[in-house]
Amino acid sequence: MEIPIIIFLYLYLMMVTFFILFSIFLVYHALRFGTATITNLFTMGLFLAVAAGILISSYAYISGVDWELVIKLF
Amino acid sequence: MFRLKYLPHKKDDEQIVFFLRRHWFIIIKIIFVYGILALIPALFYWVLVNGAEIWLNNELAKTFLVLLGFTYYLFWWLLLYHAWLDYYLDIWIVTSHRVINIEQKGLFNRFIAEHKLFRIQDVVSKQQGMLPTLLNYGEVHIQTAGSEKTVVFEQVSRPHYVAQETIKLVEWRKQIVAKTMEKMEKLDEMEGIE
Repeated sequence: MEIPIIIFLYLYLMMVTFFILFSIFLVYHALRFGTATITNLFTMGLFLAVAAGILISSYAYISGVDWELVIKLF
Repeated sequence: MFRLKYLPHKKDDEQIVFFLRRHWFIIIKIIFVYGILALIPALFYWVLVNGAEIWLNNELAKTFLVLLGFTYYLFWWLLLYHAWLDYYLDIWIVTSHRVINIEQKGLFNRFIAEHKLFRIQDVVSKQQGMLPTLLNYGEVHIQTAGSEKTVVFEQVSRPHYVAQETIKLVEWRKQIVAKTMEKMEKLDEMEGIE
């Protein structure tokens, strides 16, 4: 029995989708209910910048993996 | 965004006396906990390098672990920002006319309450524990008339000072309301005579 490792990628993309949705809700809350201060804008910018950094790093890693490989169980 | 200059239903002579959030130590504690959580994958990697290198040499296992690591850090960062917002969006405002209580409870649960100062009956400050005493933070409980619920300023700086000043404001506001009522009664009497 063989399992294609692209399943890992699909699972990761599901997590990323969930992350993006949750992030949109959080940023919406910060924009809608947060005070109009430098702190609020700075933390929001920091959150988006670090999140983008993690996503770009993961993209760089993912693009270098051979997703044709399979796991042989038996 | 919420601007202090434009408080909802703000009166012309209304001034903000206290704008309160939880004490800074509360967010430092949260950041510290998340700092420790950030080290877990690094610790796990160290264990793998020193004890189970076979996992790192296997391409499949490596891919799985790296993606797991990325997922971990994505959600670690998301939850840290969520914790920050939970801290940042909880606000208590005392103005010369009212007390406004704004609390963010989770992502989809926002609670806003407003209480007129002249309706406040009792203000109590509490400071329990070693750290709250050392760092001077605690709770302020405000009991309003006509409602069994108490407004609680949670983990705010200088709770005793906030309570004392709020009591002074309440007394001052009650005097103004009493004078206004007297004037109105006199006017009513005069109208009755005429």
